[in-house]
This record gives sequence, structure tokens and C-alpha cells, in this order.
Amino acid sequence: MEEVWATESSSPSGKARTALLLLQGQIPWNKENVKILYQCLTCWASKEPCPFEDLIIGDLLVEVRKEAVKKGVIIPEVAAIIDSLRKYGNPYGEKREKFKTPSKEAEIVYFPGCTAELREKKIVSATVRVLQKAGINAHILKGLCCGWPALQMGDEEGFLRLAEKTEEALEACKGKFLLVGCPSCFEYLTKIYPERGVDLKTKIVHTSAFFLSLLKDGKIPVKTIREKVAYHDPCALGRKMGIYDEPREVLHSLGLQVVEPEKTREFATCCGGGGMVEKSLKVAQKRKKELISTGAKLFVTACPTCKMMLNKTKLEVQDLSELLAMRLE
Amino acid sequence: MADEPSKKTFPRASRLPSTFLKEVEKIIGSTDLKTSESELVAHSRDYWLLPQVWFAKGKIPALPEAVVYPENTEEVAEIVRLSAKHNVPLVPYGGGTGVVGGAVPLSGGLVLDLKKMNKILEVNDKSLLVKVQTGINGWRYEEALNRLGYTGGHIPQSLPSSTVGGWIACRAAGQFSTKYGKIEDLVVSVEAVMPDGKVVKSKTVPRSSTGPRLEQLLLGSEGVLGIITEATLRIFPFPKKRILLSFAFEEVKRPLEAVRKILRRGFRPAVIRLYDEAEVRLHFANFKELEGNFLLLFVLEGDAKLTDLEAEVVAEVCRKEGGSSKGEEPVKHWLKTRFDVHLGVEMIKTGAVVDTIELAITWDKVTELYHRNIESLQEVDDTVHASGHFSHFYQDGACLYLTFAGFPASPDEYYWQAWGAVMETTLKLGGTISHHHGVGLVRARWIRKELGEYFEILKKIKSTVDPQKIFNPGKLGWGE
Repeated sequence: MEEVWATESSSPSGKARTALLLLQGQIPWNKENVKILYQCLTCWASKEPCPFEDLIIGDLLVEVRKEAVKKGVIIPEVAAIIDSLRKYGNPYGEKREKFKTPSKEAEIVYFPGCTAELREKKIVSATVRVLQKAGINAHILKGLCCGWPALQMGDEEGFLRLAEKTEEALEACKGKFLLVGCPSCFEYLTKIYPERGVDLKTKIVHTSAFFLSLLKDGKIPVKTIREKVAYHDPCALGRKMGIYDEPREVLHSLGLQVVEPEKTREFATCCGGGGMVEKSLKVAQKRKKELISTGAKLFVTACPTCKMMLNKTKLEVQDLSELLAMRLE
Repeated sequence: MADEPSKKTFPRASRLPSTFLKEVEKIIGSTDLKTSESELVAHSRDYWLLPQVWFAKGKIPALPEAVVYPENTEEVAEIVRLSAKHNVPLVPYGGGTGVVGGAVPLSGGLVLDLKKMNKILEVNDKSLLVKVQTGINGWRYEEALNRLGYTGGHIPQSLPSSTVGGWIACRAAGQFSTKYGKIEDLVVSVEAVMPDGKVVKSKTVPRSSTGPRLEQLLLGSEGVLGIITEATLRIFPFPKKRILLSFAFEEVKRPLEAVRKILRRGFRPAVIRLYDEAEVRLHFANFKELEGNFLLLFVLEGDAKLTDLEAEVVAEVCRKEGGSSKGEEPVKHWLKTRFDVHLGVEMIKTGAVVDTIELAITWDKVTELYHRNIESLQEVDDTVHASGHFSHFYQDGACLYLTFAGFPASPDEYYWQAWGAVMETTLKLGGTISHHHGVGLVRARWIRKELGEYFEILKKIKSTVDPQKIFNPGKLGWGE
């Protein structure tokens, strides 16, 4: 981030100082000061080099964003996302299908999340193709938001509304296997909901890990391909959930040679989509350069938002599900 | 500024001449000129611990009137000329990680944040030199060099956030410096803007006997004599081999002897650190077998054959001095946690007053420096913790790094008493009152005693070079 904004106020310590003085009432809660709180992708990239163990600046800033929203000091780009979430239940400002309760026959419930459902529909169809090939009767749970975008923007009330609706819907899926394609939804359903005392009483797995188990069990025969592939670690899947190996193993299973960008795994650069803030595209462009410099011919990630952001830079990036679906025998 | 600010600082009226910022904007453009509260607050202090306590109470140490982000030496020079014309104070700013108040904009004015001057300009493989703009972040600098097959060899604890310019301005030393040298051994030449706006450059040559060298005057000048905009530094082939060794000792004298003997024989382990019992408890709590011991760590690296030989000698000397080998694990733990400073913050959160002080002295007085200073800190009322480790070593002596903490009724009074105890003890023994953190504001009150007649000469140099006293006013004791 320091290369994108290149100012001291947007450095982790600069943002922490502004946040502290806002809370102390030393500087006014105006849009100029509040804007600083949003110059963070909440991607945890500063966690590794941070000299203060266990301090995650993004999480701290989200807490202060909540105060800003409560006080009604909301910068325009944040207001647009909050409004959309409140009105449509997604951050993209459009109506979506209502969720349907799964039938008794459905063995698996697939939760694609807002971005795959509304912006990256090919990921949904690819995932469904893989499940069909494995002979799995899956129900696609559309029309729900985990609440991540609302909480990131500081709208705690909006988050609770979305989370409660999702919890209620998932109550009907109790006992079924829940497959989640979006790393942020995966983080929220498995980590953030339980922190609020919500037990979904269901086994939740990210698609990358599930695909790997299908491959290992020989349930989805694939055509291998000899090519170099660069894998982009999504922040929520890697740094936040510790899933680094499963997507890479899926790629290996396809015969691919995985090449790593200089910044990878815990140190991976964010795609820019984490915070939905200004200059996100600049961050994505930085990541694009890093991925290209691997010399790979193929670029793969395991997150609808990362795919969307990196595609905006005109780099053709596929989701793991899409590549896998293409290689099914 | 030695005492807690008595009142809140916002809102405030600018003390700048009315047309000044418009003229600055003409030089640098509106994007790189900042006057927002968040920018001013971000540049209100460095990592000196006492103002962190004040800041937590909502008391801001000082504020600049504006911040500029120049992109090249010429922009810096133009701003300096303009500031000289209007008598506006200027404070250069790198990563803001100094711990002695060197970057606090005491007199307001303009902060020149050099972060946008972050380019690697040239790598000379044959001569093993790199030329950079000095705003480059330390982590990025080392990372870029590693990518090209080199190391810069300068790894201070502040590496993730500090800048090359900051290292030069405060005369820094890195953790790997016994092998690669301190910043004064690494800097070959500099380009700097002087207070009259003139740009000066020293020659990039391995050595020269043409009178005093400019870069030596600017090294450690903390922004009071010139603003260093470019520098050429020595680099090294990335080490082919690394060996980690550690040894436990029952007391402080024998491990110090071991290190002295290793260095005397001409070996230069990259990292040597000796922790006392209290610091072993603090930093190596998971290593129960080390409890009650002094711990000596080594990181040896470089050419494979030389490193193997060095390991053999280090192990042999340490064994002879009574050390028992503790393997790689304690060193691995240190490598993993070496940039972590959360302990100090955790202590501050509990209401403690805490700080660190680094000193240096020749071998004949090293153990005395350690014992006397620990005693002097323990004698200060309300001290609950006094510990030390030796962090840098030389053929002729060592650096002692002390940590103290107390829960006093009057934090500021206790803080200065503790500092005073160490400063006076060290001065009496003939040691130096700072090994690598610099003077800034903290040591200003003892600097005359430290420097003797040399102090007056530096003061005269400052008056000649910066008669208007606009470059980082109030720092170094003689920089007013």
C-alpha cells in the first residue's frame, strides 16, 4: 500500500494515529479524516513485517470505521456500497435471486457468494460442472451475502442484518455439507460467525480443498496439461485462513508446473479487491506485474473477487474451478 | 521538548508566511503538498517512547504546518531555497522509526518526507556498489538487492519501516554489522542539499586522502546540516552459506571473553548477541533449559569454506570459555522475532515507563559498563526491570543495549532519572552515550559532556552552514 499512496498518513502507523485522534476527539470526524481509515485493503499484508506482534491494522481500522458509520460520517464510495448492501443485499447495486431451501436429496450445498453469483457467473457454472462430473447432487444457495462487505465498510448494523438472514437460510441446510467458493465468505462462515456465537452446525469446506479431495479419490478424471502456471494467493484464503497448499496441489494434479511470484503465500500482494476503496485498481496492476514476471502462461487464483480485480487489469486470470472444469475428461 | 505537552495542539493557526505554500505548490505540484490533519499528525513524532505515552493521552508532541513529498534532489533544493528565503524550518523525514525524537518537528514548518525518492539508480556489480535515492524503504532495498543476488548487509530492527536516508542521518548500525560494517563503513558517497539550497556531492571512490570527507560530516547529522538525497553504498554477494550457533554461559565475563578472542583472531561472524539472564527470560521464555543462563548467539554467513572454518573456531573458543552448545533453535527463534518490538508496547499499555539505551565502550571496561549501569538503573526508585544484552561487537569493544522499566507516580521524572543514571555512569567510565540510535532530543542534555570541546566546533560548523538555523531545529544539542 505504501507504494500506491506513498504517504505517511496512509502507512499503518499513520492510519493508526489518525484513528486514535479521531477516537480521542482530538481531530474532527469529517470526511477528510475518515477517508484515511479506508486507505487499507484489510488484506493483512502488513502482518508479517509489522514489528508489533499480533497487531492487525486492518482489523483495528474496521473497528474505527464502525464509529464513523454510527456517526454518519460516510465517504461517498463507502456510502454507495453500504446503500447497495442495504437495498439489494449485495455490493453491486442490483437485484438478485431469492434463496431457495435445498431439497432433501441435495448432498451438498454450494454457496457461491455475491461476486461469483453476480459478476463471475462462469465460476458458478464451472463449479457445478465439476460437482456433476463427480456425481454429486448439489444445491446452489444463491441470494445470500455473508455480510463481509458491510462489516469491512464499518456498517455493523447492515452486517448483522445480512448475517442473520444468511444464518437463517443455513439453518435449513443444517447437517449438509457446505461448499464455499469465495474465500471471504469462507472466512466469515467458519471464523467470524462462530466468534459471534453462531454455530452453523455444518461442515464447511472451501472449493479448493474439496476439488483436491475429489481428485485424490479419483472421482473426477482429468486431462493433464504441461504448462507453467502462476498461482495468486487470495488474502482471505491464504493469510487469513492458512490455505496455501490445496490450490497448488490441484494445479499439480492437472500436470501443471506451479511457478511462484516473488511475493507469494504469507507475503502475497493483494489483488486490490479487499477494501473496495479508491486506488484498488492500482494495487491490482502492481500484482499483475508480479504475476507476469514469473514467465507463466497461465494465471490462476481461487477467489471470485481476485479474478475480477486482476481481469480488470487485462490479465486473463482463471478461477481454479474454471481451469478444472476445462480439464475434465 | 523534554516534558509532556500541557495542552492539546489542534486547532492551530499556520505560522507560515501567507504566500509560502502557494510557492511550494508551484515547485512540487498540489498532489505532493499536504496540509490535511492526518498528514500533519502522521509526522508529529517518531518512535521515541515517551511521546508515545503522551500521544496515547491525546497530547501531540509537535506539528508541522505542511508536508511535502519531493521526487528528486532538484525539488528538494528548490524547496530549501524557498524556505531559506522565508525563514521556514525544515525537517527531513524517512520512515519515522527513530527512537530519540530526531524527526519531531519542534518548530513546526515544513516536513520533507522523502518516501517518494525511492529509486535504485544504479547497481555496479564489478565494484559492488549501489546508488539509491535515500527515501527508499529498507525492506524494499534489501529485497531488491537479494533479487539481484546481493545483500546490503545493513539489517537494523527498524528494517521494515526505516529508510536508507534515515540510516545515514542517524549513523545507524544493523544486526549483521560485525561482518558487513556499520552504515559509516557502507556509505561510499552522498549527494545532499545544504541549507542554502546548494547541492553537494562527494566522489564515489574507495578511499581518498583529500581532507575531511563530506559524507563523514553528514553521517549522524540528523538533518541539521544537510538533507541527504542520494547515496552510494557498498553491497555484498548474497551469502552462499549460513550457520547458526548458540551457547549458554553461567555469567557475563566468559562469553565476552569468547567473543573478544574470536574477533582478535580475525573472524567476523555476521551476528553476535549476548543476552543476560533477565533478557533470556524475556525473549527466550520458551527455552526452559536456558533459564538462569547468559545466552550467546551467532549467525555466521558468507563463502561456504570461510563460514565452515569460522563455525569451527567459534565453537572451539566458546567451549574453552565454558559455554555449552544450545544448537540452532535459539538463533532461529531470534531470527524469527528480531523485528518484533511488541514487548515494549505491552509494557506501556500496563502503565509502565519503559525505554532502551545503547552504549559502547572498549573491551577493558565492558563488564564494568554492564554491571555499573544495571546497578544504577536498579537504584532509581520505582525501577522494576533492568536488563541488558550486547548487540554489536568490535575488535576493540562492544555495544551494550539496556532495557529499563518502572511504574512510577511521576512518569516523566522517573524517565529522566533513569536516563540520567545511565548517561552519567557511562560518561564517568569513558564510554559513549549512544552506539547507534543517535542524539535527537533525548540525549541533547548530555551531549556537551560527551563531546567536550568538539561540541563547540560542531556548533560553529552549524552556524556557518545554516546561519538561519532552519534545518531540523533543536536537535543534537548543538543543532539549535
